[in-house]
Amino acid sequence: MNIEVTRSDSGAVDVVVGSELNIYGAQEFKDTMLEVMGGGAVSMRLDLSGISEMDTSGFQLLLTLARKCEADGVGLEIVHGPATLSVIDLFHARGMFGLGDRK
Amino acid sequence: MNEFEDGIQIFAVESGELLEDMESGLLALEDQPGDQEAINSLFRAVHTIKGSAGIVGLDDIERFSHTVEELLDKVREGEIGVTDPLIAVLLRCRDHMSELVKVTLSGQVAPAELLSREFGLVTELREFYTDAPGAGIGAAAGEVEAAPATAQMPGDEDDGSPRAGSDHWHISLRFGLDVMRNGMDPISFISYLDKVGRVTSLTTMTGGLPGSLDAMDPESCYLGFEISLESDLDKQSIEDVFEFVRDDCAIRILPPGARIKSYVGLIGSLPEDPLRLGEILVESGTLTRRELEEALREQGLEGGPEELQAPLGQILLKERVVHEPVIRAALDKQKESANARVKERKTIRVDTEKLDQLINMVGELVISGASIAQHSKRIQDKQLLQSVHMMTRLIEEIREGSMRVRMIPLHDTFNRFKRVLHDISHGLGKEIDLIVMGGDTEMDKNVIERIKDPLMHIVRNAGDHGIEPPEERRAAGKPAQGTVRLNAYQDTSDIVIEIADDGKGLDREALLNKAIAMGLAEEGIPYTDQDVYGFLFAPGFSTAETVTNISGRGVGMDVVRRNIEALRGTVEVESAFGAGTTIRIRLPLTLAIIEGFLVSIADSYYVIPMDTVVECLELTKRDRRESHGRNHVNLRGDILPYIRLGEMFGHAAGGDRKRKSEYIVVVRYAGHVTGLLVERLYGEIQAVIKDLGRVYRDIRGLSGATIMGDGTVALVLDVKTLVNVALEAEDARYTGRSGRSGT
Repeated sequence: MNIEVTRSDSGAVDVVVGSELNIYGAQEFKDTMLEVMGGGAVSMRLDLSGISEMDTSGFQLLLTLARKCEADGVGLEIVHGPATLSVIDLFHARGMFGLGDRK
Repeated sequence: MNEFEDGIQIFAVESGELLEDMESGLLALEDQPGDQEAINSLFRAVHTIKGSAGIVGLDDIERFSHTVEELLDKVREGEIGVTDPLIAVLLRCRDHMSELVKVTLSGQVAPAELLSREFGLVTELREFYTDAPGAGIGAAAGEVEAAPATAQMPGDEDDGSPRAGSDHWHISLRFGLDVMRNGMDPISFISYLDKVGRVTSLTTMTGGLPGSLDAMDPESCYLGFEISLESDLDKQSIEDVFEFVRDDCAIRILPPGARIKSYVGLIGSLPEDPLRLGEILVESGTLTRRELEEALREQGLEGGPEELQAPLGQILLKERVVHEPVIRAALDKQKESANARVKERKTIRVDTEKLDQLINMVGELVISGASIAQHSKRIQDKQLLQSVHMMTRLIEEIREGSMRVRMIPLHDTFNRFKRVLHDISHGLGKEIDLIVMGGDTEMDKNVIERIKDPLMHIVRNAGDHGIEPPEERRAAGKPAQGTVRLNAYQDTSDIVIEIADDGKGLDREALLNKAIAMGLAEEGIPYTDQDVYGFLFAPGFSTAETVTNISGRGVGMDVVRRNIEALRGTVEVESAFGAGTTIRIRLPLTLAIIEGFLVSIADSYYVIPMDTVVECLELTKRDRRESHGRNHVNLRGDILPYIRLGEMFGHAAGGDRKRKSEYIVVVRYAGHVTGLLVERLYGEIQAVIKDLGRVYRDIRGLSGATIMGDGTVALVLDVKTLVNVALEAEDARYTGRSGRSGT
């Protein structure tokens, strides 16, 4: 898993995840997110469009992150890709991520 | 590519075993057509073969197995009865499956006759469908079905309560925390559902997710699913989708049109809010809102009519506490019912080479341990002695345990012969019953492998030549059905396998004449019965007038005897003309480590196998006087002959007379008792028996050697031959014939 985090002075954080979002890198992803959130992020853009795979572990992390951001009032924008959408669609979970119906 | 080959290998071994199970299941069913358990395991065997074949891509096998499985399913449900013709066809199907596996594994293309045979079998199978369902035979009505792999929902009983109008399956999954740690991902199972049907609705239950990011363990699974699935498959097939995750997921499956009570029960057993669950069921079209409301109301019915009117929203809800304990409890219960049903032995495959190496190591350990024990006695340190004592006991247990690992019971081997006799009896128009006794007797796996074929040959002979056709039997005043009895038991240090038939027995005259004709025997010599029967084992000897298809071709009794003797065993024949024949095979237990009794003569040590030892006595001067120079002693009123081992093994005779005391170890073999005269007794030792090597192997009376704790070699006595020596000596004395001397 490689995660690139770019913070701007305005409190907007840009996170790009390469390779995969799965159980192997799950702990690392979680730690990074905690760090970002703990560092007082105001909004986050999470770019997952380039990942090749997401598993249940990744899905859970994503969902928990989304809920946490909502609870904390942090604006979260997720850029989806085929890897994330295939799992989300399998789980009929578009609604959980504020996505409309499949086109 | 390697993985694929491994898969095929595993399939080969597994399917071999399953096909054997299938065969014994069918034979058992022939005897007991109503045995529901046999029907179920038959179904499972074919079902598993089908599934495994599918996984490794062996489509031909999968397809044919599927056809057989479908029919077996109908049998299981009681729609098709178990009859002899059905069993016969199914046996042929099993043989065909076995052929298919062989051909497919060898990479060849299926020959045309195989395909046409398959076509014929399929047509035959189809005919059973058009018959009227068997009246009660094999019917499941009233009999206990195999318990479901998933939790039994309340309300599935036949109580006439209303059913839901749903036309789809409802699958409820709650994955346990460890499912991903155990290497599985819910995603695989959910996506697989598309292959078994159409998922019309799915709700991911996320209530189990911890509220905060830091409280969640990224490797745990907190998800559950409520799924509606349209499918033509049966419950077993849908359950099988979740086969590998049974231990890590609470699974509940409700069929289309399940009773509404069951859904209520389902809701009650899940950790989420019942309202929420109820909504899910309604939204997925599983229950109509009215059905749900009515049922819930009925369940909570208490008190007056006001409750009856209360809408769903006002029903008091039980508090749902933490997600996890509820799942845990459900999983435990699921495991319980699965375990209760599955009485299968838990086994793992072990490389026999590794096992042999391990057992060798244990042997070395025994020797090493004995050495330590010896030295520790010298040192006289109490604590050391105690520890060594404990260690010796532990080594003993390891020894016994490791020996047991390689021993397997004979009943599997014996059961294969059922098919052989079954085919012979049908093929030759005879009626033969096979009785198996002592199937629990265990033997070393390697030895079993090597006697399988000789045994098979003997059993075939019994069925082929031994048992007469029914008319002949009746004419002789015997029951029309012949019996072949297989028996196995342990006799001191041997395993004895008997194959007895009540057929026509051996014609001594005919045998002797044939032997004379072949130049093996001479006229005029008074051969004993044993001698005459012994000619049976001469190469090329066969008194069968017709060489039947089944036996009598190539493999003769001479090969049988050679195989058995190669295992240091013996074959005996007993027969009564007109009454039957018994073939008795004795094989030494190949336990290389035995309990022994250590004795000595002059400077030489000998070990007597403990299980042959009956008792020890002292031979006093008085005893010697009373026996008048003959080698007898008075043992509580009986005469006990004894062997002067010293003489037999060439020790100098001189010291005997002057000795203050000598001892007799009384040993027993095959019912015969004799004494062994020795000079000193030491007591029990564990002896690792090593082979004596070619030069010494033929010395009568020795079966090996062992190294004692201090490095000296002790010779292990072969009690069987010693007893025979004593018997022969007795014979010589009483009949005046010169018996063979003791070498």
